[in-house]
Amino acid sequence: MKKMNDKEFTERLWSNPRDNSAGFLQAAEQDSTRQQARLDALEFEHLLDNALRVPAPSPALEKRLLEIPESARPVELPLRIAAREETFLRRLLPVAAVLLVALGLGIYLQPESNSALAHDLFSHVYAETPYMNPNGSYTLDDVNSKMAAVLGVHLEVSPATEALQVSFVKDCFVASQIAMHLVLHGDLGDVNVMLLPEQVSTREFSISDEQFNGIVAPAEHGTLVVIGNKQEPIREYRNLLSSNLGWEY
Amino acid sequence: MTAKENNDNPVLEGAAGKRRRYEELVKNFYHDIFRYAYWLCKSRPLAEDLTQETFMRAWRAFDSLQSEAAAKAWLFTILRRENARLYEKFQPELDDIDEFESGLPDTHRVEPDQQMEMHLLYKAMQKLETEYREPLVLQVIGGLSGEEIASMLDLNNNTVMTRLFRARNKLRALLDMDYNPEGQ
Repeated sequence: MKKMNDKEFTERLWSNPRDNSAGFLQAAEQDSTRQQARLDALEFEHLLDNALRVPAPSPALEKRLLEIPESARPVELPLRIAAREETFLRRLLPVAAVLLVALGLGIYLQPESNSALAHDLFSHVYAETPYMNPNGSYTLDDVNSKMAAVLGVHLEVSPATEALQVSFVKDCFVASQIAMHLVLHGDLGDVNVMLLPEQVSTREFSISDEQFNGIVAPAEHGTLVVIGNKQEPIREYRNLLSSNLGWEY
Repeated sequence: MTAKENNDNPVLEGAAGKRRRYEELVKNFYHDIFRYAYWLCKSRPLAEDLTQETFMRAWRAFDSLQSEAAAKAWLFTILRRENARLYEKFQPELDDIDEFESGLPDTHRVEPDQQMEMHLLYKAMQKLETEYREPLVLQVIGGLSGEEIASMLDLNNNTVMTRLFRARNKLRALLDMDYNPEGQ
């Protein structure tokens, strides 16, 4: 085993006084100076640990946390109650039928351009994904300089936008427009963000396919598209981005 | 349904198992998560909300947790993201020395000299640049390894260890302890 010199020992000691690896402990036992240095470091660490103590959480917090799975579970009607309410539910059937027809008509009457746009957007995501570098990392400055050059748009500098982890940023041809395509690290995978220079709709609408959900939202001078895996909270990304987008024209 | 039937049903057993694993996660880590949340927010109600939001997201994404060994770092990563998303914009400028002191559980057992040192150390921590403070808090409060912190902050391990070394040196200098920069 390579012998640890004093400089290396000191650096390791003060970068982690609680280092319990065999090599480090052996080096610490080498002489009395090192033994004393380690005691000093541990004493300092104890002080630091105490200085970082905070008030205890309220006793209710643990209970709140343990109840999360219960509150997140969809409500199921117990069978016994369901049977008793069968008559009542039967009376609701005509109303439900009318609602279903209305919903069906709504879907049928959705502008055909929306489904064509959705097709373009999803196709673009699938086509680009193999060429993306999952380890790519761009700072907010990088992102803004690229977006400003292509679309004259930027994200406001804030802790929230700076915390976004961007692995891909590039100008792309999407939906017959030169657009910006960003990929963010989401909780459940990549979140694709596209900024189109034209407003494709005056109203926000949702899109989805078998793998992704998406939101197409009008922005000040264009359109913001956010696409992520089914369980990804894409609405939160939409909120964050739309409230931080700045258009220069 | 009997317990045996329940165990025979892989779907129910899977759901129950997931719930049990989640409960263990809460019991094992919620104190550390709250402590780090408090350090970030400087407010108990905000820290509790942030802790709840963190575990809510953890539950929703529970299937993506690859191994229990990675759970703590995973929770801290979620917490940091949630804090950035929810609170960093609105973080009040608190200098909660009173609350800090009243929150020390062992204050009555700490000698006055040591209390003063802890107070000064706390103030010194506030003065540390973020690049030094952040890994140090993750190490001391979270008990996270250099590799885990490096992965979380998107740095390499050597950079993290150097920052931890410098962070402690800066704190010691700020405290004006009997310190020899050469280390020997």
